[in-house]
Amino acid sequence: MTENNEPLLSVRDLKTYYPITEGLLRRQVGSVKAVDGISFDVEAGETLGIVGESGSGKTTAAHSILRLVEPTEGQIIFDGQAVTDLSGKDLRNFRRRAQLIVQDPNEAFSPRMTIGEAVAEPLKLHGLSDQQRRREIVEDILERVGLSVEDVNRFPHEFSGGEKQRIAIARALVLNPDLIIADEPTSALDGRVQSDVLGLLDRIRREFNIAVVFISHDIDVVRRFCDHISVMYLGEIVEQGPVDEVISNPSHPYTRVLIGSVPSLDPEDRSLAKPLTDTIPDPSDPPTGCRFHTRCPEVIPPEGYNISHEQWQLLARFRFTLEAGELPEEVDIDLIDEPLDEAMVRSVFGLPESFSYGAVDATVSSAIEALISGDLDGAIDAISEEIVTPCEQTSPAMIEQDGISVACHRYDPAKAGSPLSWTGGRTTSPIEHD
Amino acid sequence: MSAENQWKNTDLVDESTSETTLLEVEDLMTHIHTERGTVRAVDGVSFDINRGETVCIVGESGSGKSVTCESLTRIISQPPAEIKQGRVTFDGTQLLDISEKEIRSIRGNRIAHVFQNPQSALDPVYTIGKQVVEAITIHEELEEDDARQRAIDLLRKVGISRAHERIDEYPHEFSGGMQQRAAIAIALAADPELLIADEPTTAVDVTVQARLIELLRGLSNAGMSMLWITHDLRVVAAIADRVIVMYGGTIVEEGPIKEVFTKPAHPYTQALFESYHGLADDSGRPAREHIPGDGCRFRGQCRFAVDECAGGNQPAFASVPDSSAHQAACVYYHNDRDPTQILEEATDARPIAPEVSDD
Repeated sequence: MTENNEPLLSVRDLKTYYPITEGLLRRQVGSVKAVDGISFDVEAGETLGIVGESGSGKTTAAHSILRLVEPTEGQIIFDGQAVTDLSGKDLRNFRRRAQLIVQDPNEAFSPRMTIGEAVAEPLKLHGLSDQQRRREIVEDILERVGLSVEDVNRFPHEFSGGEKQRIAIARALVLNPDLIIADEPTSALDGRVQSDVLGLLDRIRREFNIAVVFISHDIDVVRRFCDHISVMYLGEIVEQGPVDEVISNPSHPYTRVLIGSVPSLDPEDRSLAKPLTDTIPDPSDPPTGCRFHTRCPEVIPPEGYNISHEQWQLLARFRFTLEAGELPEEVDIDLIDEPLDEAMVRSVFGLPESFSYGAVDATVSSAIEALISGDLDGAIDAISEEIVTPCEQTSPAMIEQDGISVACHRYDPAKAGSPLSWTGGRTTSPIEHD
Repeated sequence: MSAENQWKNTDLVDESTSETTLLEVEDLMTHIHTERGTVRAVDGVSFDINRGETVCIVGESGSGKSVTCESLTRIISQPPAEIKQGRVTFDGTQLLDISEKEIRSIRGNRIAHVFQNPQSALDPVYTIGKQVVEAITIHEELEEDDARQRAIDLLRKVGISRAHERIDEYPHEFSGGMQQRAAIAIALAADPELLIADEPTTAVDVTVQARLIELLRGLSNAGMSMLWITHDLRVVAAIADRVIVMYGGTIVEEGPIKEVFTKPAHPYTQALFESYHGLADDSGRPAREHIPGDGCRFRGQCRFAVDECAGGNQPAFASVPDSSAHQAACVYYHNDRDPTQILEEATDARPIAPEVSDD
């Protein structure tokens, strides 16, 4: 047990890269930076939610902490010990104290083992040889998770998804862990069953003072379950802090997009957030600077641009849409029969005849001209050489402010942009209640 | 139906039902035979879908929502399932009575399906384009070039950029969201009048879900009817004109979206809304719920349950006070009882405030 003020789990600058290999000799030609320098602490008994889209690296982060995949770099300190240095008996002991619950309970159980055997198995593996004692522990734990003693002799297929997830929780609990890493534990469940299993996990972890790292794509579930939240995008943490504060007043534009994409329970508010572009960049070749800048509705204009936010957004969307290869087909010269004219391009991208900041007009015109002549690369070059956002030039540092950490240039006093207020197009955050 | 008119004037709908109803389901009953006995998965379900309307069936796993939808066009495997009784009338045709050949000509042609898992609609060994072209040419004889052009147009319509290039890619080269778009393109190939979508956004990220909702909303605004099955009340709020709540193989509540979301009337619907608030307090709801096969299926978990709730069928629909189109299958809404105490609960469960207090 932790006795000092050190956190139970401390992750520093964790990196996990997967090699990309080519050819028969499997020569490494690059790497997917699935997790690229993340840091966080989890106190004993505390819950941390890690959210992000698929491909954000959240599951790799979870597996790296448990050393189910070997981290490439960085430190993982669990109760004062470096997890990356553990081997043999110490590693086994760590794996007793840190348990994993996976999304699909069907993958977690052998169909040939009774539930009693499945829950007792970890006890056996970790050396409890007294069969009677094992049985008592298993029966006790099954009752704690809402099942009954009679269930020990039944097989996994006799249980519903929600019940199986309760059994998975029972098996994680049986070794009396200090940390549970739960990877989308309720994503395969719906409605009240999801809510019940979340409630169960919450009651159990409070009762036994277990810390939980809760991986989810569902920011609303994280809001309900977790104390703290870390938002991941393309292998990096972009914002973290106490869950209530981050969700009621998200700072990072990506967090704002995630929250604004959750439909409101108010059927009269059907607005949904929209990033500048839809394409998630390739994690083996992430964008320079802030990795979110190609999709960021709040991307910072170049210094000296005297331009309204709306007009700047149009300009940025124009550039990143071309770069992302999301060229609307109405303006794709290869696809249309009639010659393309400038008015058409402007209307498709919502670009005004001239911008209030006249200095960009020539750039826009030359990009449009290139598009009309069918030279997409020329158009991209024209606009991306002239219209350069500070967000793509340097990686934002993690700025701490009132307990919230955010990696966005808008929050860096040394940078040009200043934070924009959060409305999400709505009067309230769609996932807040009461 | 115009966008401004999405909260449908219920009086108008009632008057002109015969002209606007596209699909009418009456007393549908589908049983599933298993080794351990027969499950009455759908147990007497009736509802309508009007032309241009989006109806959501909301319910949890095991509520019978998917079996209902798979029974309509008979895509459910029989056996183990058996459609025991009921009438499904689609634009005058009895879908449960016609031959397999006839239903096949309606399925995919006038009624199309989209599923949770786009892989079920996509064959991994053929390019996306080949599959979309196939879907087009099954229903219409077209020259190869024309069919390909139509396929590109369809992929473009569902928001796949560079469709002219991506058409020659294989499903595995598409992301999950793009695969679902391709599956929707295949469903749209024959320009169906009704799209049945079973949890089409459940397997994708919330950012992708937002785009799929916008896409399907656009198709609905263009006149297509939709039956959308989901467990997620948020998705219902984002897309439905009218909502049907299912529990234990029966419909327990239905009504216009705004009314159901402002004043959820059936105790089950209220429980569903409550699960969106905090964490369940684990207040003794058993892990294994036993759903009775008669009377009100929810009575075992309902604190308002009375003797009358047991026996017979799910209680008949009765109008919720102040709204004839909003109905609950609960004895408290029948003439001789007072639903006030249940509706007071609705005040706690409701996810949105009614307009009157919204100042």
